[in-house]
Amino acid sequence: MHVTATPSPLVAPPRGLPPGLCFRGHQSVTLRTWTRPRRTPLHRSAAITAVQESAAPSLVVPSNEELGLDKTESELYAEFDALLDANTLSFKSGEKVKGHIIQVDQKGAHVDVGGKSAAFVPNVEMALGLVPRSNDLLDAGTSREFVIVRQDHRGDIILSLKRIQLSVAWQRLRQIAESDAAVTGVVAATNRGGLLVDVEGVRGFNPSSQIGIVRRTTNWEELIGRHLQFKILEVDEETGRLMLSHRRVMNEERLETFKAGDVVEGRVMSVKPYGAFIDLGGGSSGLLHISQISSARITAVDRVLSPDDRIKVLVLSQDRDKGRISLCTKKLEPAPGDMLKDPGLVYERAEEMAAQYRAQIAAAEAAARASAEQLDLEVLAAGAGEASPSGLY
Amino acid sequence: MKLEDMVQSGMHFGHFTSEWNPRMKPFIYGERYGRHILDLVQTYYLLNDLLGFLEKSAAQGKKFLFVGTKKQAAPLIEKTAIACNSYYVNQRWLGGMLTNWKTIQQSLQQLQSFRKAEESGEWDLLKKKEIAKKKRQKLRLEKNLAGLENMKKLPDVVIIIGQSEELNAVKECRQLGITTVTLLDSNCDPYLADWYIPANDDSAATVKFLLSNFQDAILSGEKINNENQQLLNVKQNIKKSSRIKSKKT
Repeated sequence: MHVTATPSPLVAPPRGLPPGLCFRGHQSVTLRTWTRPRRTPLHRSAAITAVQESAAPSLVVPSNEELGLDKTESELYAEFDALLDANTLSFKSGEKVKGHIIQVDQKGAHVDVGGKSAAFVPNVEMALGLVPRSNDLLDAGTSREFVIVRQDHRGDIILSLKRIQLSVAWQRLRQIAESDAAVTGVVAATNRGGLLVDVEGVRGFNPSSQIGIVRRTTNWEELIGRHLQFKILEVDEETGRLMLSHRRVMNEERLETFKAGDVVEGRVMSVKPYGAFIDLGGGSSGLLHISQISSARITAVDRVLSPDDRIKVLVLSQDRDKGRISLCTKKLEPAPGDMLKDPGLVYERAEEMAAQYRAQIAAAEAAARASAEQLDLEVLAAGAGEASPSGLY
Repeated sequence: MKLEDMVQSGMHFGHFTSEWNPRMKPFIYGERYGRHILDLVQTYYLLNDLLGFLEKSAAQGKKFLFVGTKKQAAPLIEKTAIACNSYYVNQRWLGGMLTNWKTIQQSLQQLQSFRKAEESGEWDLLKKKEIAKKKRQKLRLEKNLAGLENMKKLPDVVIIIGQSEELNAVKECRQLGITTVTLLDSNCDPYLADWYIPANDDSAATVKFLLSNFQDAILSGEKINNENQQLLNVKQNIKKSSRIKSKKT
């Protein structure tokens, strides 16, 4: 640090007014010559002293040593230099600093951080979300850690508590995401893609597809203000992305109500060009793809199915991560094309067909396992001998 | 009182170099971060000197007035002044508080009468609106004059925190010849002060440090003054009784 140190000589500072200068006729102050201070016994009148000497305790005059005046000037200057070097304070934006709150007024709080003057925490920087009254949050006389936002043109430092809380909040969200726990959040707003949710003071987004509440219309505005459980899909502090999923929480609550190969009765929720969404009860829903409805060719789904139809479906698979259930009625058809011709028959024989399907699946799996083992043996044998019997390698 | 404590409280920080008052040159040690650094070694000596003066004046029975309206200083001023039985002004310094003392005294008397009336219960007899009006008036007086209550005459020593803000107070004291004690920052004028301490007046820690030292000095001086008064009384009683004795005989 470049210090233009000009140790000033300890001369008597100019007192009174320089000659020739008139300052509204004020009396000039007499020059007081500067001397090394000595502690002299205080002045007392002789009479009192006489009385006092007999009775009162003697006056204690502190020695120069006690006052610390035993050091020479040069020693003191050396000490001063050392202290200046030791106490260099740097206030850079982004740094954390400990401060003692002096005063809280309407616009914010004044905090002593050891610099030239008090630093300031504006109301907006005091907490995440709305700050009703600064008095509620901060009390004068307490110490807290703050983050430096910037130094304004007058050299005053602006501090923020919000940023510390924000970084703490993100840290918590990361931990929650890692542990795959559910958090409670309040729905703040909706937009075209989904819901905007406040979790731990941070704004996150829950896409429409990840909303676990099943309904026909996508009017989510009723949810605004409600407290719901969410699981975290993605946390990224730098970009400020926080993706949430309500559906995952809902799915997990239902556990494995359905397994692959189960027949479930459901109600058609909505019909799309590519298939139909079936409400399977308990808040779960699955997609019955157009290709999975029947072995026969289907040109338009709405010819076969319409909303509010009660149908039986076979659960093909469940994607836990995405919360999707794939459904099928093709396998339930005793004869190909039955879904179009006679759905009732399909439903009657649904259990039967499902059992057949499960058997088929089991057999297929067994066969696959057997062939895999066979292949392993062949590979080992090939490794032992030079040539492979199949001539592949 | 150590140099270390003074530096840690931020006493050495001055204002930006462009904002200085050149008359402060003898007290400026150097520059750092574009700010002037005050010479705390001089402050150290001057402070020792000053504390001796304060104690001596208090022992002689002199009265002190603390003046400081900065938000860092205001609550500390009040606390210190009350603790050492002195007077204070920590809200706006009204023009003519000392030079127009007669008028201020009238306002103080008004405040006194308001207090008495409220306590005695006179106000309970009035109507609601009148009570509200009186309360407002009382609050207004209290705001500016609370620290000057019971001040019967002009103070002997005025301690000023923040010379640039309290320039009116400084000028009034000079006009009346009242001794002033001032904290000088790098933008202040040492010509206008009688006793001075070059120190950072913007830092709450500094003001606290200095005021507590002042308080200790004044209190110990007052203690001596009280002892002296008691001894004087004793002496007078002795004289009286001896006079009475001599009369009788």
